[in-house]
Formats: sequence, C-alpha cells, structure tokens
Amino acid sequence: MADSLKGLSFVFFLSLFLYPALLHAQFGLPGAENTISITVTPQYPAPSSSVHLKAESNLLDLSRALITWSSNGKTIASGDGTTETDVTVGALGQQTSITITAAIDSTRASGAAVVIPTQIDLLYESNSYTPPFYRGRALPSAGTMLRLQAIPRFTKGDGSLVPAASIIYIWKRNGELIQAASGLGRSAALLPGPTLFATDTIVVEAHTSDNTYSGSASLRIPSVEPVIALYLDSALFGILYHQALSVRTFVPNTEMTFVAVPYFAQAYSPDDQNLQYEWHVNSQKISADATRPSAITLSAGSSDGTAIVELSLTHAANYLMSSNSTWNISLKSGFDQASGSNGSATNNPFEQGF
Amino acid sequence: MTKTTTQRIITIVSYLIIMVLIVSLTGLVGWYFFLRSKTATIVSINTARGFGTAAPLFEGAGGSTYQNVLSNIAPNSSSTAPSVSIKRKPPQLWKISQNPVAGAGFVKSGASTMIYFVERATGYIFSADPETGELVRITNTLRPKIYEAFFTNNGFVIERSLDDAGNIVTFAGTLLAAPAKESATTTEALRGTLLERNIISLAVHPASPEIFYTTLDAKAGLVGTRTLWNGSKMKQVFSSNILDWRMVWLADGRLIITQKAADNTAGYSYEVSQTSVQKSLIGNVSGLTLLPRASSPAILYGASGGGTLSLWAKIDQKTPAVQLPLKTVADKCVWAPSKTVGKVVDMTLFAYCAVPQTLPDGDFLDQWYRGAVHTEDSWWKVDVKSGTAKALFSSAQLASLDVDRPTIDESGNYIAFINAADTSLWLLRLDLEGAATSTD
Repeated sequence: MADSLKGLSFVFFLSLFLYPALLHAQFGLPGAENTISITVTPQYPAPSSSVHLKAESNLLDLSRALITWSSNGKTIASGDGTTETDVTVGALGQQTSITITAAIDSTRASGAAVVIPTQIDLLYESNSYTPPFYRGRALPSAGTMLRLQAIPRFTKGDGSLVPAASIIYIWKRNGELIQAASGLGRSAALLPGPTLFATDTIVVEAHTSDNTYSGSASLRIPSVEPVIALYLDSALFGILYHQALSVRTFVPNTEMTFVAVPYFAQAYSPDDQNLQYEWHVNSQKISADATRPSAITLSAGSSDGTAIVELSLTHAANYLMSSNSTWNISLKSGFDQASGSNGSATNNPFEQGF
Repeated sequence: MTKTTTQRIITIVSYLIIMVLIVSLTGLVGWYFFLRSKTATIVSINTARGFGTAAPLFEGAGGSTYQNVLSNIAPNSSSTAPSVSIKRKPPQLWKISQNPVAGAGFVKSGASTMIYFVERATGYIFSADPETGELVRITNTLRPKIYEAFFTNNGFVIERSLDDAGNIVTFAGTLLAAPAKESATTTEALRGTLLERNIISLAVHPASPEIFYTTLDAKAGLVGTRTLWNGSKMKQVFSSNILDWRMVWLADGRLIITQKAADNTAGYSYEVSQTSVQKSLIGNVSGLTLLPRASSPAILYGASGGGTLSLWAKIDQKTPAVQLPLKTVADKCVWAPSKTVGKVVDMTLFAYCAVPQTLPDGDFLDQWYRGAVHTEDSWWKVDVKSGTAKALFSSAQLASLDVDRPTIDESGNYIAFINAADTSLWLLRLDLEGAATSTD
C-alpha cells in the first residue's frame, strides 16, 4: 500500500463557550464555565471512525471533578476524573457536538467542540513519458514534474459541498511551505518530482476562509528509474506494445525493426530531441537515425541471426537520467545452406539500417 | 584384311561404343543430379519469394486477410490458419481469431448476438457467431494498424490508431448499414467520422450513440467531453489536472472514471454526474483496478501492492469491502448480467474472473501493462455476496491464456476476451453442462 495518508480530515470548533442553560447555574468561580478545552485525536478523523477525546483545564482540577461527556446531547461517559473518553463521529459532513461539564462541589465548568468529518482526496501522477494507449500511470522519475490534485469534500449541513474554488489550499513538500502553489482555489499543483532515489512527502492543508471547515491530506511519493522496454515495430500491426521483448528473444523474421520505449523518462515522446540513444549491436556502435533514434532495424543478412543489442539512454539536460538495457535477439537465420557461407555473430552478424 | 584383324577391330569398336555409352550415361546421370540440385535451389528461392504459395483469394466469408495472411510476426504467435466459417457449434473455448485484434464486443444481430471484432492489421470488422462458429468479414474499409477498438451492442464502433507523427487518431463508425449475417458474401464500407486528434481516453455508452472522451486543455489540464457518435452535441462535463484516467460508461448511464493504476500507488475512482460533480466511489487503494456493475452500486476492485494482488467486493457504499479469495486484477473480471425470470429480476451478484495461476516476481501491474509479463489464467466464478469463489475450469484447459479485456454478452452465456500474450480473440461458453472444453 502506498504510504499516502488518506485525505480524511475534519473540522471542529474548539470554541469554549457557555451554554445558555448554564448561564443561570450556580458556580463559585466567575467565568469558569468556559475553561475546559477538548483535544481530539486524530486531529482529522475519518468519517464514522472512533476518536479519542481528552479534557484539560487550567482553572479546575479535573482529576477531582465529576465529569460528564455528551455527544449530540447524549451522555457517553461520566464519572469522577473521567478526563478522557472515546466517541464515534458521524458520517462525512455529519456534525458531532461534544460537550463536557465538570463539577467540584458548587464550582462548575464546561467546554464544547464540534467535529465535522471532511475528506480530501490527494491524487498524483507524473508528466513522464508513457506510450499511447498505455493503461498504467505515469510515475515520476528524476527531472519530471508532479501533477497533484486535491479533491476536498467539505459537506455542509444541507448536504451540498463547499465549492473547491472557495477553499484555501496550502501545499508543503517535506514540511516546507510551497508559497507559489498555495492560495485560494489552488486545488491543483504542478511541482518538481522527487530527485533520484528520493521520496518526497507532499502535504496539502485546506480550509475555508472562516476556518469552519478544514482538512489535510498527505502523500509519500518515491522517485522511480525510467524503464526501457523494447518492442517489435511490425509493418503490418504497428508497435506490439503488448509484448515487450525479454532479455532473450527469438524473432521469426530475417529483418525486423525494434523500438525502444522509455517509460517514465523526462520526455514528450521516445524521439524527444533531449533523449540520447546509443545503440550497440554485438559491441559495434550503431548510428541512430536522427529522425527516429528510438528505432533500429536489424537484418540477419547471411549471419546466423544472433545479436546482442545494447542500448544506453541519457538525457541532454538531465544528467541524473541514465538507463542501460541489453537484449539477446535471435532473428531467423539468413544462413545460406546451398553456398555453405556462414557469417558468425562475432564477425559481422548484422546489417543495420533505418 | 584377315578375319582375325576384322574381329579385333570389331571388338575394339564394341569396347569403344560401350565406353562411349558408359561415359554418356555417367554424364547424363551427373547432369541429372546437377539439374536436380539446381531445381531444388530454384524451388527454394521461389518458395522464399512466395511463388509456391497458392494464389490469393479475394473472396470467402473471412476475407482475404484471414485466408491469405499468415501471422507469425510475434515470437510467440502460432502460424495456424484462422478458423473461418466453421458452420458447427464451436468448442466451449473457441479461438475466434488467430490474428491480432484491436477490440471486440457483443452486438445484437436480429434475434441473435454476434461477436464483432476489429482486426488490428486492417481495421476490418468481422463478426463471429458463437452458435455456429461462422466468421464473416463485415467491412472492407482499410484502416491499418488499429491499436484499440470499442463496440456498442447496437452497432457502433470506435477504431483508434496513430498517424505518422504519432498523434492518436480516433474514428467513430457505424455498422447500422452493414449486412446481416444472412448476406455474408458482401462487405460494406465502414462509414463514420474522424473525431478530434489526440483523444487520451475514451468510453462508449453500451446502448446509445454517445461517447465520452478526454483531451488536453491548456487551461484546465484535461477536459472530458460528451458527444454524439458523429461528433455533434458536444458538452464538456469534466475537467481535471490529472490526465491519466480510465473510463467506463455503464448501461444505466453512470460514467465511472478511475485513475490509471500503478503498483504501490494509491488510486481513486469517481462517478461523473451530469452536473460535473464527482461522487467518490472508492479511493486510497494501492494499484486500484475497478469493475463497476450496471444498475447496481456493487463494485469489484483489485489492489496491487507489496508484490501481491488482492480482489475485493463492495455490495454498496455503506457495506464494508469484502476480500475475495482470489489474487487477480479487476481488469480480468466481468459481472454476470442480471437474469429475468418471468417478471422477477435476479440481482444475484456473480462475477467471472480470470486468475493467474502464478504471479510473476515483482510488482505485477506495471509489468503486465507494459507487456513485460504474461500470465496463465484459470476462470473462477465469484459469489460476491457470500465472498466465495469456485473454479470453472482446470488450469490445464486454459493454460497459456492471459485474459485481458473480457466482455460478457447480455444473456450471460459467453465471455469474449483477448489473450494479452498475442492479442488473439477467444470465446468462452459458460453453459458448463455443454460440450467438453477444447481449444480449436
């Protein structure tokens, strides 16, 4: 499972106020009715999840007080020194009102909090290269950018959602604020991906302008290395993306075009001018075609059809990108039985052209 | 001249004649073997040039491609000829197409249901009758190198390919004017419209002539557009900064979008409504693959993380997900359709899933999507409500088939799928009491 934390959060009012019903209650300390603070753990609970409540007061010794906890008007815990309890919050957008009252002799104090579970989905992908019709996700490698999208679900009492555009977003990378990406309505961000071998933690915090609703979500995003896959480029069928060539491959043709696909590389296409392909066939360097350097055509000619194809891929502007792959390819032999000639793979096995 | 001398001369001449004959015979024999070797060489060369093959046929139900082209371009593809016009009930597991296909779907044809598929090399559309095994070429419009194709059950088709510059070309065609199987001897042009270039992802409504697709947008990043089949009545209903979505348009009208999956990477899925509000369906699942069910809130979803797969089911949004005892991805599953008995609709939640007998080392999804690994699958029937599964076939019967893009007909009797290893098309008949399973 990804290390990402689900963007579940909530907003709670920690406003300490005196309930009207208590205004006329007897108490020994003026103002003590508003002096109990409630800490909710986790800070951003998931909908319908259990949260832990803890009460603290600087004015009253709660360990000696008779404490009563209520949730939406219903008593959930009571007892001397009961400063902590658990409660199950409501569904997404459903308000849970927590109240606490404490009494020592004739002295009474109270506190309240409101918990409204919210949800933020934090989605990401990379602008790295993947071929057309690829069904997987583009993953970030060094030098690529991250596309991030926060989808908040701040559900109001009437069931409607707070518009994403009216929410303030704060983006952080590894704990550092990204000012340029943050602000009102900035639910999407385009950020540099993690560096080579690194894993970045991206956090988005979101809240409404009046802080009624707030939430947070985070992701751990590792950097991957580009993967070079080699495919046949058939004159009849096109590129056979469904069949990446394995390290050892037999191709039942005497001549065939192969294309390299640099998955997750910093590129717009396999023939991006920044990508530098270096092909070797049986240790002989093969000049890449300037217009299509990702492709190479091999012909068995009069050889036995076996060749070791090596490809080194680098990037002109990204020195961190370097991938090497090797394939042992056997084409259908062009060996001429009648003449008895035999080109060995070591001498001059292949003719290459584009 | 004495008699003795005459006899000697005769003897010498006889010897000479015999020697000449021997030399001549020897020469003839040598010439024979010389000619034979040369003939063999010429035959060999001619065969290599294709002179020895039969003249191409430009007729027949299967069409020229099926009858004349031998597909052996891929390392693992076999070279047997495709089955054409079998005219008998096909085996329970029927290899419909030897040649690579771009996509397939069940299409109503009168009272029967046919499988339509697009040949990858030509873009020709073929129909296959699951009852008779008859294979018919429907269209004659050449659209080479089709990478992806979709069908609706009422005869619309999408064919997607690449142009020389690498742009994605999407053609929307209709088969409404195509011949019925009774007039199988003629083919028709595939008529339709070219949609805008570089459509990233696309979904077709199963029954109505509507398409939903996504394209890049300079401002929004990505926009999703609904349109009629001919490109008219366009309406933008979705925008996103995320580009990698897979989409499903269910028969009940719900449009489901799911982030493209990657191992160990959280994915999310949403329902896009008419008002563009996204309703969360499932989220924060590593390697999420999703299979929603039409006319039901039930979903099947797969997770891929930590080098293993798991399959889950949710009957509705309120019920907790149940892990099923299968290690596969939702891409290899289909929901069994509801069956109506009298006026009662049986909403039993069954699904059919192809399950890899062994999983390759490492993370599965990324490698599978790249075509770097292939599986050998077994079919299982899943009872979602009870969270149980039972095997349909033994592993040996379906060995070497890497099930991809399965689709089921409305009656629930047939599953068509593509073997991801070579993109051949297969049909599985589900009347398990029927004929013995075999491959064609």
